[in-house]
Amino acid sequence: RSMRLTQILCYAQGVRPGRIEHYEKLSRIMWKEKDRFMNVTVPRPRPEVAAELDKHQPEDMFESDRYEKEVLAATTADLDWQAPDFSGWLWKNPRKQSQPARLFNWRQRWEHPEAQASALTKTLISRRLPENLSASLAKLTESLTEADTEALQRAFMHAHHWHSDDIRLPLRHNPENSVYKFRTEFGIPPDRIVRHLMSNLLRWTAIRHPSCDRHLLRDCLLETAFHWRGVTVHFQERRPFHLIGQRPLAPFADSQSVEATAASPLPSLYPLSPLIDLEDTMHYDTSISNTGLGDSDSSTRLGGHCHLAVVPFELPNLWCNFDAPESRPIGVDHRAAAGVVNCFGQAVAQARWEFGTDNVDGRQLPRPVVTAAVCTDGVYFDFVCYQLNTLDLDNDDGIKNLAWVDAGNRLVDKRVPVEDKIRLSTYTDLDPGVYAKLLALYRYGMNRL
Amino acid sequence: MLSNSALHLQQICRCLQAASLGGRTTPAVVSGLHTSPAWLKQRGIVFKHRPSFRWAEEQAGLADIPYTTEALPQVRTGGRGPFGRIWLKHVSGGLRLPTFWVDLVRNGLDNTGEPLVEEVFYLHKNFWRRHLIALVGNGERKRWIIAGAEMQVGDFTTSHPRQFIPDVPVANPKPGDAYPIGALPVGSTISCVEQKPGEGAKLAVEGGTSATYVRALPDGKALVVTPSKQEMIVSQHCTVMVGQVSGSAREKFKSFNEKRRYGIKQRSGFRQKKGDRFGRRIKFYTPRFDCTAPYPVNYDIRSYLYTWPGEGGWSKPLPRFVADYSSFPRYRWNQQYIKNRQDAF
Repeated sequence: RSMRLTQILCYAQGVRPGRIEHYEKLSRIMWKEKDRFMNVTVPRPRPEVAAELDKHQPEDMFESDRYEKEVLAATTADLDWQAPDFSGWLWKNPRKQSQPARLFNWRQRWEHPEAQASALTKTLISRRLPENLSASLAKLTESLTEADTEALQRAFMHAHHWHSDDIRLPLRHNPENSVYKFRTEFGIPPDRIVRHLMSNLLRWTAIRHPSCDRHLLRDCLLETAFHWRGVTVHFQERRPFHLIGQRPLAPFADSQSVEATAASPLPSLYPLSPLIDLEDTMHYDTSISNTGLGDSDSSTRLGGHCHLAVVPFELPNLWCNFDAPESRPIGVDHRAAAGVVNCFGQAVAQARWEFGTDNVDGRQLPRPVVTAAVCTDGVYFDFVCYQLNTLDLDNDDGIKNLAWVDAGNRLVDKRVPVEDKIRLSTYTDLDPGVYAKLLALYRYGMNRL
Repeated sequence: MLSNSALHLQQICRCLQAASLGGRTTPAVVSGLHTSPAWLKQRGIVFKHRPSFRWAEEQAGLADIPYTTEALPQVRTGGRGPFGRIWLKHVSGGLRLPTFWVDLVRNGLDNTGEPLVEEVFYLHKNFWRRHLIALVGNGERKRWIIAGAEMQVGDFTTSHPRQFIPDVPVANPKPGDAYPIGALPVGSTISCVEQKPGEGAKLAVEGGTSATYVRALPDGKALVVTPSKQEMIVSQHCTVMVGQVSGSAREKFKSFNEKRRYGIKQRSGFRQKKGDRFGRRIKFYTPRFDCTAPYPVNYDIRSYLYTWPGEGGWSKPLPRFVADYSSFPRYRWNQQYIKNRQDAF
């Protein structure tokens, strides 16, 4: 408190008693003190209980947890059990490192998607399906029956409209008319639309085209890392579906085509670097390589090769404007590039498990690793076939990896009203050819009965 | 922090001085003080820094964040100040649309001596700005800058370092590029002019505006005429952008609602007779303002003596619009994203 001298001076000037408390309160407001002095009143019992207070013991509502740990330790000292310590689990995370590392993130808008994906993964991207698949495409399209078309229609409508999910949807925004205020709506979020749609489609295809040595895996976590010019780039993605088979897929391109890629140059990104839009993370572990089938340890791993993966794009896209205002929609190029890098990560994890990490990093693979993926946001489908030939990413020379992308396939014309509710959207022009392409990818690695 | 004995001594001195001046030593009554000069006159009242926009930013949690190209929420105070009462009038409402952190230091404080070549990715029209902002990138870094009138997507813009002042001025500088004033020919149209080198663009920043480089003065100075026809003397090392700023000048508000969308609340409507004090005024041109002169030292004895122990005068933080591009972290940590990902582990 202040000195006695100041008190006398204050009173001599005629400061009213109580004014000092007012000044102290104002100084507290000025400094925005968070602690407030609360007067806690003891709760009074109800009249019917007050009369019988002698009989009832009042509950101690204000227990102190200061010695909680000591009490717990004392009461459990004779037991062979230790209470788990949840305090500070975030900071004690064993994966947290001192230096940041790069992390692939497709949610960031890329500026030159295809060129960046090419340069980062040393891939030559061609905008068509491989010849092995396109040859069988016409036959598959003819073999589609009315039952297939109807099932496709029902699967789509169930995922987009009929499903009973009633979750609050993110607020929409119309960039052309910022003043219009959208109402809060409830329905099926875009990420769940993808899950429902693909689960319906894959279930129908499994019924129509059964196979013994294949099974579907849900909710896999893919973790791996690769080195680009001395920089480690990590890959941590969740996948809703993985189609696992016991045998590896046959390569899409033969050895002659692979050797011919040495002459083709990669696109240049001047003045950018391919690492420009990669996010940084402090939580990573370079030694882990998990294809989603279990640990990297072979004893716990479910044997198999990933034939087809589903990569969901649940962010705003061409058919909806869920997002914070003033953000660009994701286009076809971005989806194609993100699909390529997703397949690359998958192939890298597979190669590291098959051949060993030391035999694979920075070298050409003894045998190409082949994988495929379906990237979708519920309306648009992108089919990606990937062949990993080399992991020598320190230079742009030599053999390159190959990717075939068929992007921008629209299954249904979904029109969402610009200034109205989402449940009033219209669905027209179902295209069964998109399902035929999915069938082609599904049947590529199948062991026919 | 001072020791107890020093505290004791200082309190004694303060009290004696207070007694001699007939003043108080306790904090003064705080009412009716809405301007910084009024606060400066009051003795004993100390803030960590000047009550300014910095306070509002701290309240919103946007004070000390690393540079990001993402959309940021606006700092909305409703005109209220640190005491919860209205500090600025006619500020209320407005659309809840985000802003972007625009880097006003064009050459990025890069002291390597090499020009900075950046590619223009995207030209964006923000609701709160009348000019376009351009997303540019170089290497692994991206940032927003004020777009020139002739900038297009896919262009390569160059930002020259502050030391680049050749003997012969640049013949045809490309519109949108950034040069120090001394490198440009006299009479060129410029914009986004710095008052002091490295401080950030301040003059001719609004949509459709431009300044003129009128004359080169001795001792490494230049004379610039601002859009409001004010003459200013600036250093020749100040970075400017060649050409006009994109967008158009401010137009009259078309309707009452349009003003409300921008957060301008109406006045009372009480008509005041236009007399000597009220009404439109004729602005006379002020004399040349010399930005190269040192800042006047505002040494107020009272504000120095009547501060509480342990806290010396005002602390002037770096202005927020100065983004040190060369010291940008290579990365951007999205804390919410990291938190969501931690659930996976």
